[in-house]
Amino acid sequence: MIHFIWKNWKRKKERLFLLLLGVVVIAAGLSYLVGLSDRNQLTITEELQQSWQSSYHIVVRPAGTRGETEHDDLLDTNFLSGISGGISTAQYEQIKAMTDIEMAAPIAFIGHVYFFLEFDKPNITEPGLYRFTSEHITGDGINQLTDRHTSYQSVNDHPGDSNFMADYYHPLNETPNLIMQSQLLAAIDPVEEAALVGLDQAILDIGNGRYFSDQDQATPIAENSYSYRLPILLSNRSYTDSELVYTYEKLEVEIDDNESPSQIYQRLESLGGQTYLDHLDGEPVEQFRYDDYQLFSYFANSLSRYDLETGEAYPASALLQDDFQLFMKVAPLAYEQKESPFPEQWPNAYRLKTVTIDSTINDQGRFTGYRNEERFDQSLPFINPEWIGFYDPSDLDIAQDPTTELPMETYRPIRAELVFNPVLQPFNPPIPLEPIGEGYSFLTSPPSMLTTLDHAEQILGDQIISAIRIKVEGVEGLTEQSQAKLEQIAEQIEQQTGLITDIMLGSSPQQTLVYLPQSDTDATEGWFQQPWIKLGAAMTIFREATLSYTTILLMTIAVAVLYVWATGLINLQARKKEFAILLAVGWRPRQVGKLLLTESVWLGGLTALISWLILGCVYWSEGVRFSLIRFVLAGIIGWIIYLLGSILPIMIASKISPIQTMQHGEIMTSSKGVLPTIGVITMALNHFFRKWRRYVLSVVTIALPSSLLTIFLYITLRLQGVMYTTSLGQYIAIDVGPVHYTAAIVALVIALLTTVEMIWQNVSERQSELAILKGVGWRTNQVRLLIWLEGFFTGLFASVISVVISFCISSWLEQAWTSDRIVHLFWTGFIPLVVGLIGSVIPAERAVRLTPVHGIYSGYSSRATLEKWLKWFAIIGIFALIITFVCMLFLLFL
Amino acid sequence: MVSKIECVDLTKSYQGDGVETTAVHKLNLCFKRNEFTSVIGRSGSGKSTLLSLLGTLDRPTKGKILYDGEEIGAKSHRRLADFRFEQVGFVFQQFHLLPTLNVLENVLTPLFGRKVSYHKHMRAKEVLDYVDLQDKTTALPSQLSGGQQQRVAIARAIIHKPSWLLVDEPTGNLDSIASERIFNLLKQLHQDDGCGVIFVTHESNLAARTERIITMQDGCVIKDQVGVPL
Ligand SMILES: Nc1ncnc2c1ncn2[C@@H]1O[C@H](COP(=O)(O)OP(=O)(O)O)[C@@H](O)[C@H]1O
Ligand SMILES: [Mg+2]
Repeated sequence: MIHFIWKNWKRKKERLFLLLLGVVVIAAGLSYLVGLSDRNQLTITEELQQSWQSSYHIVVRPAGTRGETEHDDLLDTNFLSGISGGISTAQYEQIKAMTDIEMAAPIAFIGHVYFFLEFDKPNITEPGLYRFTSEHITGDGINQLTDRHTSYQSVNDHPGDSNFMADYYHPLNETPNLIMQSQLLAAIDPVEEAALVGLDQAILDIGNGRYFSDQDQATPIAENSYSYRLPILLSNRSYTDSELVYTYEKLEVEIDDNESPSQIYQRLESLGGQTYLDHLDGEPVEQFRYDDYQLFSYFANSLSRYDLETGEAYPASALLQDDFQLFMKVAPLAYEQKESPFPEQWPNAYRLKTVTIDSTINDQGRFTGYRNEERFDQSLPFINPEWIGFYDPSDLDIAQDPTTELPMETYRPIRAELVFNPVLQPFNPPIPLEPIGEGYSFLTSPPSMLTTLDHAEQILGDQIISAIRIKVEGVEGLTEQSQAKLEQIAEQIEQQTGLITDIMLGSSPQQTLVYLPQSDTDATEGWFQQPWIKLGAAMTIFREATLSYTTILLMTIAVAVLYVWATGLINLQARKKEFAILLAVGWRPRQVGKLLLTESVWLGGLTALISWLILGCVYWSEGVRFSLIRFVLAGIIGWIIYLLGSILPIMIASKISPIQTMQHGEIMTSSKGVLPTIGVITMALNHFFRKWRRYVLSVVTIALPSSLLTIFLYITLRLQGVMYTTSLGQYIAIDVGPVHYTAAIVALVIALLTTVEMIWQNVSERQSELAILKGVGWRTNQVRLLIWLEGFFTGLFASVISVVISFCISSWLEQAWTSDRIVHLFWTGFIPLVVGLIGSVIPAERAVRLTPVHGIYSGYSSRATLEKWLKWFAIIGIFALIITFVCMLFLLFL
Repeated sequence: MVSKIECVDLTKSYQGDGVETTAVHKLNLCFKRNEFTSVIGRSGSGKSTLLSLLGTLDRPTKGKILYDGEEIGAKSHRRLADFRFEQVGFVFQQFHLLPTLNVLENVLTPLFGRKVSYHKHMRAKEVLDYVDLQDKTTALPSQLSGGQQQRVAIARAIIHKPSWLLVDEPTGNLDSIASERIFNLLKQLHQDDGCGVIFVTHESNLAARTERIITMQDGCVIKDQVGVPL
């Protein structure tokens, strides 16, 4: 049997060559798609797990904190630090007690505590009137806000008057130089926070600094007590950019040594008061400058009584009082939908809502800002912060690469970049925005003072938790099971506690545009991009990527099976007579089927062998991770393709009747041409219609891969649509794209091979006809044109069919049709045409080479020497393949 | 060993292009193995159709063929193949050799996948000897003349020792010398092996030298005469 097959192949070298080409294309395609794109799948999963993982799986927040943006499944990066309590301790305990909760770390963003720092006094002794200017400059990295105060101070020998009060004047050094500062205070559960982010490991070795311990038991507030002691962990970082400048200028106003403050004031009033003084030129005599770090370390050092930098004891204190007042609660930002000016790049855009704030703390009075000023009950006791240690946020166990983080970590300032000014003029590159410090502004700093929940509850009651960050047991990486489990637990929490849950595991950052209108609390107006949290995006991408990968793989396999079918049928067509003879001499029909099956098994085996070789080489040389399943699968699929492809020909072969041997070999024209044959074109058309059965096969085998190609492109585009909106997707798209294009190209090459085989067969069958045409004097170009036309008509019909098929499929996939999609669709309609034409080139050349005699006597031109050579070549080739294969297995497994 | 083939109201018609062609019409004939029968008639008179029906290559539209009284026609394809293998050898006008196989291999094709009591290669050599082609065993069909090709076809037809030889215009494509040689070969086969021969031809001079001459026209037998003894 094998001998018989070999003989048959040997005699049809060109066909064998095409057949082997098909084997190589399928093998190469499979080894890439099945064996190697595995690499991309792995990358996706790994990237998702490593870089885009939040340190928690679910975040729970109070009911009623849903914002406008959540209609788009988007969570504002700032959202956690804007929640001012709402979850009760009881609810927290309830959640913590649920099964499978590995960790539940509560956090309460309490608010900004205000305190006064007192700074150096000037050393001015020369009598006279001085202008004192205090400038507090806060920058957001783009613009600055300056808070300027001016007062006038006198120096003379008069002892002063303790009862004297005036709004713009007072004797020098009579009142301290104070600056009001604030820090964000948050409360945590020491045990849970240590487990979640390793806060206990981030404590700096300064003084007797330590983490929270059993020493820090919260005791109820004593009756009528004025303040309550809070143990405080202090951050060693300030994220703001501010500067404080004190300037003293001597004015040309004489002050008598014995003039009393009220006398001086009266004189100043008579001169024209503050307005007059403001216009006088002064001569600078002394200036003090404090940068942001100095300001922060004054506070930190004073509170801890250690020098943050050197670790040495710090005796002095710049703090005016030991007790701080709880003044302003944290407040959320409110957004409203705004049409994105560039939806391609930023699918969503929002406008920050402004509010008018009637401030009591800020002497500006009424001003506009983004966050409402929510004050604490003024009857609350003051807090008495007791420093217990410093922590360094950069030592926490959270993702440290800010470009890949999930933008919601509590311990890092939130990012935003200015991309357009209010009239949409772009900034390139975008300018990063920094937190401006005060509790009002758009960006907030992370909390710098941490206390325990137990202590905070003593003052503020038991509904102060802003959010609970949950880790679930047994959730490892981004998988469907993990997602299902998280969904189930989230559901359980929502049902039992009535709180809101969001699953962070499958989320991804998504650049979102935020329009900041003009306000008094922030310095820069314009369009900012911020990495927001797209809920479930990573999961969607993961699913889509996996789905589209599977679809594309299946489609490629389908195209390959079609190709094998087509070649099988063509082959059968060519050998019909041969099989009829075999049947006539007594072969059983099953033997013919077995013959075809054996051929398929061999070709499939060869495909498997080649794809294994390719894979082995790549695994070995590129050091790609070896996956046994993929490796085996790549080969097996090749085999299956050929076996599946042999089914149809075998079925048809079993229907062949031996009677065909009795029919004569003349040109059988059972039906007349549709059109009168008047030239090359009508002749080709007539041939096309006369042999319509064969051409149906040909047209379908081209049309199917082509329409699949359109669907490939469609899926790729759709996937990119999902992907490019999120940072994660963009990253993955780079990996996914090539797989899709490779699949499409493999399918197309296979379609091309199908066409070549089909037209080749037609040429072979019409050898005598073509020879006669040449015999009667046709020119070479006419014969060439005849074959080309055949390819053209095949391609044309395939085009029509493929456009119809792909139109149907893609409108089934998506209802709305955009005009560019239709254009796109019609472009892909050209593919079959091109394939048909290219496919006819080689057969046309073969037809042209045909000598008339050769065709008429259909002689068999076999040269024995060539055959021997080919035989040896094949034997050596197969041995070489097998030996390489064995060596490779050896290298791989040992 | 089938020694008698009987046709009862044997009819075959073809449906093609809306027109029904009756190739063979209500034939009642009996062929005996000890007779060398020739069938003559003009082209299109139904000779080949009759032969293919007798050789089970095709099934009758109406009527039946009895082989020693047994009807084979309705059996499975597999059984028909086995029947052909055991009882029938075909020789066609176009020789129908497989171009990819050499002479020896072509002769061996009927034996592929079959278990036989004799040594296949010895038998092949033997029949090639018989048709006087022992020195051409490794040649390809394309390297042989028409007469030689037809002799290979005869060798192939007799390798499995059939009881009947159905021959369809074997000399149609040959010159008179080659024709004569083929005819003598068939005659010799009939005499030596007791093979029943049904010899379709349109050459009346060859037919006249057979034991029984059946003349067909438009699918019917118009004459059934006794010829000359061999
Ligand atoms: N497969 C077929 N389809 C249609 N008509 C056929 C077929 N085979 C033979 N015929 C018709 O049957 C008739 C007898 O043909 P055939 O037996 O080949 O004649 P002969 O061998 O005597 O020349 C002819 O008219 C022929 O056209
Ligand atoms: Mg005939």
